[in-house]
Amino acid sequence: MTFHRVSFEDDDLKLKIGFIHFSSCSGCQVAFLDMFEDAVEIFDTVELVYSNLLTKRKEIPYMDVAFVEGAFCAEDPHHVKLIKELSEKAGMVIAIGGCAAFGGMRRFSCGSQMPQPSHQTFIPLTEIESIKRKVKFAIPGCPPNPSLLYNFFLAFLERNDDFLLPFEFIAQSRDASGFDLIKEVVNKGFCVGCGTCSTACPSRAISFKDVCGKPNFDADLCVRCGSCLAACPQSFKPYPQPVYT
Amino acid sequence: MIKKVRLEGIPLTEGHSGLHLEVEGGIVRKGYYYALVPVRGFETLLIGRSATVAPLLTTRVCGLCQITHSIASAKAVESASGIEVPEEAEVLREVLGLTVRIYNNLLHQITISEDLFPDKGERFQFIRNVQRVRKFTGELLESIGGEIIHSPNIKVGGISEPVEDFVKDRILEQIPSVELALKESFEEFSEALEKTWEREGLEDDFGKHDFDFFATDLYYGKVFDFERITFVRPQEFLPDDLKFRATNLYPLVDGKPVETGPRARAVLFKGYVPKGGVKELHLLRAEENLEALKRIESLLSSYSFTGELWNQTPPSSDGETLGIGVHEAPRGVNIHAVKLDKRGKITYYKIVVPTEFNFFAVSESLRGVPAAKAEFVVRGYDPCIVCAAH
Amino acid sequence: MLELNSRFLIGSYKKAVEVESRTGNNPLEELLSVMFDSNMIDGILSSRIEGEFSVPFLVVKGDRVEVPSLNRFFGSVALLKKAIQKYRLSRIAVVAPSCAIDGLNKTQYYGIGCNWVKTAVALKVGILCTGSLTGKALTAEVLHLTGKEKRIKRFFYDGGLFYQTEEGELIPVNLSVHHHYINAACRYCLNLSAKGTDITYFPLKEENRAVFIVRSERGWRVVASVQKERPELFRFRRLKKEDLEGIVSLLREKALLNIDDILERVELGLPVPKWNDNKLRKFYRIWNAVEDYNFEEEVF
Repeated sequence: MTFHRVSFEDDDLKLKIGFIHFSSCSGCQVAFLDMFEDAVEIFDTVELVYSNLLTKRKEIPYMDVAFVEGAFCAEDPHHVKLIKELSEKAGMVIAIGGCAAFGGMRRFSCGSQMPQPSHQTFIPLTEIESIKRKVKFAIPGCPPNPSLLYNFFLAFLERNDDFLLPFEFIAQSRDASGFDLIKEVVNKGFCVGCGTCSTACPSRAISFKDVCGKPNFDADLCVRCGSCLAACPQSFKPYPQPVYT
Repeated sequence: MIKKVRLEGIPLTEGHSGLHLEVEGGIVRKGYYYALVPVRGFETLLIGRSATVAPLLTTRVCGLCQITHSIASAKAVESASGIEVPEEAEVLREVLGLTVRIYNNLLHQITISEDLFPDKGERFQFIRNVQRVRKFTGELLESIGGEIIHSPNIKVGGISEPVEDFVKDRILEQIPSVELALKESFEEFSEALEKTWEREGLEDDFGKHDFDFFATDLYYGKVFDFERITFVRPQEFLPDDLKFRATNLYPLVDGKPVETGPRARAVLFKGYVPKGGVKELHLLRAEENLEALKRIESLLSSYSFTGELWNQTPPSSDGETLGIGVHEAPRGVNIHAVKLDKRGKITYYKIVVPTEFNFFAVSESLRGVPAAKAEFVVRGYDPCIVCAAH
Repeated sequence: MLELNSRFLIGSYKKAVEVESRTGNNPLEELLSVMFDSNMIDGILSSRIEGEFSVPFLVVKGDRVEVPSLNRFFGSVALLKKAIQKYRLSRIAVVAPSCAIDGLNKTQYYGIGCNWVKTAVALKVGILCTGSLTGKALTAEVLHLTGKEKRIKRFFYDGGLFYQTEEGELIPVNLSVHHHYINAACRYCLNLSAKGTDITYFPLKEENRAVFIVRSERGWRVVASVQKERPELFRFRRLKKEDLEGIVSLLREKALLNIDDILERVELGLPVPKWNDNKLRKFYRIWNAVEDYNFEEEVF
């Protein structure tokens, strides 16, 4: 990955990060703040150059890294402008949360609601050609856990490639939901019945099926956030073993 | 001469929203406030889905005041299908709702902290103090609601998991110290607010209006006649391109615009006499945190939650009955209305969020303020734009 | 080139000990009880048998300490969120085979799906496992081995794998028969001895005897402090390398069956895991390579 500025000595040399919000609930950005005191330390380490929620700046400046949540809505002229700005002004894009990474709940949207019934095309950032090359990492979850965001942030600042690699895969994979968990793990004979997917599901769509020792997936409850497949130890485990702590 | 001014993207607020101002001599003569984030279509995407998933999906309307939507949604489905909820589950929902009130109000204090504390060191220290209290609310939401953001435990018919006494006691034990921290941060906040008003040269009643107030309850939310709400659509009155760009509706109560939120609750249920203006609103919002914490303490200590909290009767209705769920969200009255068919599938869904009510109140409050300070009015209402354009 | 020696099959460890509980209880249950009483842990994440099923089970203070007594260790990690996010436990002991520990490790490392896990685990006890069975699979296996339906109470290792029925009958289990009945994913497992845990545990013939392969400093500290706390409860016997030869050859026999299946899967071109195929294609390459390979660093 390319860093334009890597030293953290004074404000001018700090890594410039921004938060951009497409069509989503803002929960991913709030999840950053839910690191609580740790969030303050992180905002002290980097320079937050743009966030509608947290900075007064009106124009989007150059950002080394843009954390982007939400899906792109093709019928919204503001989103069209934002995508253009993002491709010009962001050194790298990190898609956070289900909506930006895999479509998330936006996969259910069908438009036809007042006052703008035309809003109906929702596309995750990982599927948009003009910025796809900048979307280096995608973080699953609805929203991603504060713990995951914290670990990711540290790994990103330390350039811990072992940690970051799976998030690169995720950015390229587009689909990750309970269906994909069943398709990629259970159907293919890799499910060991450890229960990690069930713990990872933020909507409790996955319970544990005692009779076969496999996940029991309730599609009605799935919000397409990708946590289950990302958490599954069979989908990847690239860290060196053994781990003692 | 009247100039037309557009401000789009109001910093230090949630989401993307705009102001259309008609300005004369630097003073706003007329103003419109509107949302600019796309309509995600929660009301249409829910149609045809099983009503049991409504709380889980609608909580994702908003990442700031998540649980208020799942509560209102669950209550709406319950009322449409006549499902009785165990009393303790209702109490727990109230606790969770109040927790989110604190969690969200403090988030707003963080959001506007750049206004309050020009000095970065002071600002970060303030955020640190506030985050300590938010950490407690996060823990409470995780323990009882299941997750901090988008709690999955709110179900149609109650709460999916009982709360063991040791979990409850651990929360209660922390309350005295949290209360202390909350009081301290309240002092800091109100002091900084005074200074900000002085620094910016704002009047004490800066940003006032003479609208009626609208609230249903001090803490939880009471049933409200949905017929009394009507909607003005942006296409009816907004100028030019805003007809197809504005993404919120403007609801009215009994045909009149209203203000909802902390001040409305104080006026209607505590006999508070309003002075008007957004400074008062900021303070009343911050005061609600302390009251909410006291209420949480008293509710948790007077009930036991170890029994069954979930009436798992599947929802079903006649396709005609309109079920209404009302919750007093941090920003005011949040209403969900639903119709179900016999199989329990949703045939109609409507969400009216507090920020939508307040769009007219914000617009009205802009009248007479210097155009350069218009953003201070907006921030005073803590608008949640994603909720408004659900 | 890989050798199926003790280093690959058991992995590195500090000390291996045979533990006998003088109260007649299961030594691991005894160890965990003492840890509970002295506040070294505040919860145990494990599973237990309920009727025909094995269900995830979270032990908190006041509950009876139980460890799985059958080759069924399902879903322990499913309760991780409840333990941490709801109960706010901060010193959890986990008793599970390597696959479940993998899930836990991953959650600890990344934080995907559950908050605050990194610092919440106080002890990882890995169960040495030759493949896990569902209730139905166990019934079928026992029918295959004995021709009769029998209620199995526990499993243990004594030279080979054995089942003990509720009536006390001992059934030796033929590993190639066992290999046929186990969970599909267990046939691709290359971490039978739960490398990467603090302590690897396996039960012996007598219910009050078991082997602890202590791998980490933390594991050793735990054993030492429990011994100090309640010296009258346990008798420890240090095992030499030769003492573990029996279990190594058992693991080798099972690993060979697993490796056959892996090689076959790769040669057939069956799908590999979505984001990582260390265990299959990469292993295939290493297995067929001529040069030495440093497998400690690799994940299979």
